[in-house]
Amino acid sequence: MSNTKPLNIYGTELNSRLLIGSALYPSPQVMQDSIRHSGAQVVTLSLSRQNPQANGGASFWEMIQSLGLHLLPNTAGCHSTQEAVNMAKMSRELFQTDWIKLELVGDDYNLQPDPIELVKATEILLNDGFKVLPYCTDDLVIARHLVELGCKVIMPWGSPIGTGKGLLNPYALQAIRDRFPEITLIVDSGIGKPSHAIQAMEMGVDAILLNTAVAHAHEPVKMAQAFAKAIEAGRLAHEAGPMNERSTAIPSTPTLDQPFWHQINYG
Amino acid sequence: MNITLHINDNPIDVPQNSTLLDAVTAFGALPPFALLLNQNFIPASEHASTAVQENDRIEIISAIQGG
Repeated sequence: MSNTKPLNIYGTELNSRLLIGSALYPSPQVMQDSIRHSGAQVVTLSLSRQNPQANGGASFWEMIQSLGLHLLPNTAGCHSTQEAVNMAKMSRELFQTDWIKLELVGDDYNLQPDPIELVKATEILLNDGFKVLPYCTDDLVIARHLVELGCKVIMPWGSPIGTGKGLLNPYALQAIRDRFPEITLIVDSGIGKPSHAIQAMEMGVDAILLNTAVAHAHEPVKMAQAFAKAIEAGRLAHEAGPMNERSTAIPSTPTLDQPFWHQINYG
Repeated sequence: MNITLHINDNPIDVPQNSTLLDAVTAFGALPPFALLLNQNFIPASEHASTAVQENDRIEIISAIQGG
């Protein structure tokens, strides 16, 4: 691993800055292999009605446990504060973690987070002892509300879930980064390619959470490795500090004492 | 005497004095699971002491893949 600074999630320090989802893989084996090769130390999962005919989800649960990673349950599919709070409480009981990726759908067309319900649910859950990782849009003012409530992590979208469009509004993300330098900032959705992840990491985003970009790659295990390298490279670049962009060319080779064999005699 | 409940939207008849745990066990719930009773979360510590009533709606919830 590189010598980059660790990622901090509510006091838990992690070496990997990639958080990975457990859904949409072509097979359970590919899921396990992809997650392992990603180097991620946090895996997201969810809850649904139990289907006893499908063994109650026990085999998935055993697979996830065998990975030995930090679990980040989500509240995907919740539309109201009450639904999300219930789901968070069930997740805490089942998964024995107070981390919750708080998702509240505001519109079914693009799965855009509902900022009003999100802020309400965040306050209730923080007061109940949860460590809330809210999935939000890139709106600076919503980010401010979440931070003022006590969130130590916020997770704005790059673009809508599953679109793979990358960072639609880098300016907005940069504004959140610059305004809240102490907050752990994770881009949570819309990353499609490793180059998108590098762009975010170079901007100073602390980590990337993704799922579809790996699970729907033609070779998910290889793509998991590609993202691991990209995110590490982007972080290294951020810590190293990129050069300033210029409008005019400046020679990189020293010109002092250069021999004059390229001189043309126009006389 | 039996009462009728709905578990994961399926009707099920259970004896009148059943607890929440009795009802979901009769349904075939496989641990680990979490429970909602009429859209309220009931902690595991209360499953065996919570009584159920006619027309109660129970949801049995367990882990699935997620992003």
